[in-house]
Amino acid sequence: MGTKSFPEPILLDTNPVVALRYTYSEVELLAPFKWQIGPHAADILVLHRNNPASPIFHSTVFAGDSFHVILPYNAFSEDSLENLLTVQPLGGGYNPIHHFFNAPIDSIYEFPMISIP
Amino acid sequence: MKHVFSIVGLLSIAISQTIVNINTIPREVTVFLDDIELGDSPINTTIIDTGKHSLRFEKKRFVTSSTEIMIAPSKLLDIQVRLVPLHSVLFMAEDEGLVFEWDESYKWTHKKISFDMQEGTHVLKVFRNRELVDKQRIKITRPQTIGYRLSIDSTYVDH
Repeated sequence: MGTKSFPEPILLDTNPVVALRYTYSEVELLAPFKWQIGPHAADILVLHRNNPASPIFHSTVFAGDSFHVILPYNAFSEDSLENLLTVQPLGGGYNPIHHFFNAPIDSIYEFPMISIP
Repeated sequence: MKHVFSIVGLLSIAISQTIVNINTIPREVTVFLDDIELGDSPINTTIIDTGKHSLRFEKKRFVTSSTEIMIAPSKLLDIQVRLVPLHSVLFMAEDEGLVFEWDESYKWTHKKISFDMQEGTHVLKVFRNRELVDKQRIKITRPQTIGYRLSIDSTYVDH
């Protein structure tokens, strides 16, 4: 009696092994500040509007400084005006300055002049 | 003004594509993107629209693999895929009147039969008169012959 061949391969119910490795573009954020008479420093936060508790970036700048940071492209939300730059002047009852923006499409994103009271 | 719109349009297209490299183990695997053949691996610097895509990998004597991936906007995406080999397995049983089953799915009654089996651990069940009389885990790592005899030590593997 000859050898039969089973008509289909015997497969296990397993997923293929696929590894993805992304290399992201970088975006340079530039924000020129106009320092008025008042605070000597300000906290700068870059965050998603719907997740203010976890900023993408946080630093302090001092009077006379501008803001300049390089962040990975995928850090930004793709949703419309979902990204937020917040400038919180320190030392007094200053109101924070908010600037909503879309995910940058170029390698450099420059904010308009931000006046710090 | 028309030129401005054209430039904006080009920028949008540019940002919604990603350069993709596809490497496989083994090499020379035929790669399909959304059911369109891209060519044989390795595939370097192909440009793919961001978003959801299906990828399929085919090579003779390997398990065809399909997967859905979400390609995010990025500078570069490296995809690495490992295919699982199929091995020729000859199964020979000594006893009459048995029904065999691989992995709860594949049944047969022939005493001598050959299979193409995915590398890995398979479950063999043996039935007589619809009653389970044996169950074994068998690891397939290369082409091999499996001899089967129903007894207390019922299964032996012949390399």
